[in-house]
Amino acid sequence: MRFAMKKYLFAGVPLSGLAGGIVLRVFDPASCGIFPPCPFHYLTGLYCPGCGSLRAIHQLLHGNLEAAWAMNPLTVLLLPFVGCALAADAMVRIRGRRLTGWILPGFWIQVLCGIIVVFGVVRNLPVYPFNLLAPGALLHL
Amino acid sequence: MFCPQCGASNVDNAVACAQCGRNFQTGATGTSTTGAPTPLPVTGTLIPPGATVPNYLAFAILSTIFCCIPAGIPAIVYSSQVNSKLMAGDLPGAQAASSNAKLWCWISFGLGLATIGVCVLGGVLGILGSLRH
Repeated sequence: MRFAMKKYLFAGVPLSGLAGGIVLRVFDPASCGIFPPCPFHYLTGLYCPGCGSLRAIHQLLHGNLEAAWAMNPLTVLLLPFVGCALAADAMVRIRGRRLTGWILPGFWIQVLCGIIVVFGVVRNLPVYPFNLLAPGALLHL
Repeated sequence: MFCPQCGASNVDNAVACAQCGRNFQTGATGTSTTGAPTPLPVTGTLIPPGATVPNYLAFAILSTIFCCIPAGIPAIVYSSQVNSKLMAGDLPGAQAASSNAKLWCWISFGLGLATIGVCVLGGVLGILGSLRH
């Protein structure tokens, strides 16, 4: 019973991803108010590493790589990686185990974690060239 | 819970392992419906230990980027520990890190969702307030 429910739950993940993609393609988070604000930005006024990622995905879905890069370069770089990680997770769920030899060394995950933290700090600095990393700053050069 | 025999992730109140059939109450390995112990079905390659321990990396990154940063960071760190410990052959350590990664993913997700809820509520109250004046 619980396993059957879990299967529906895991089918829901790609479906909600697809639904989110369609909503993001149709509505631009930059001009449309239906998207919730970033909690971190709302509370502190600072940019988090993910600020601008919805706008970036919107631009990617319209094929504007340059605009997406300006909104959040980290998201653009991480999306293929997250896609791979999701595929690996799905593999574990479906097959019951992951592909042998498909273990990313923990060190590289820590490097990734460091990149995310540093990116989050640096994009708040009001100094050139770091201020170009704020969402959309590259579009107003 | 994790199966002590093959390491597969099972629901917490599971009676037997969904993967290898180990009985969690009696500790018997691979029971059949008749109750008589049967040898484990070995088909093709043997499952390497730890091959089923999830590291929740995708969930950790997504919850860090889309929700709230401070709680997403421990999730990614625990996720990295899952992989390091698996490579070092420390299966119990990897399973503990896996549980922690999952926990912090949900904390991050929950905190993000709660804050978004508060923001939306604040926005609605603000609109209502401005309508009144």
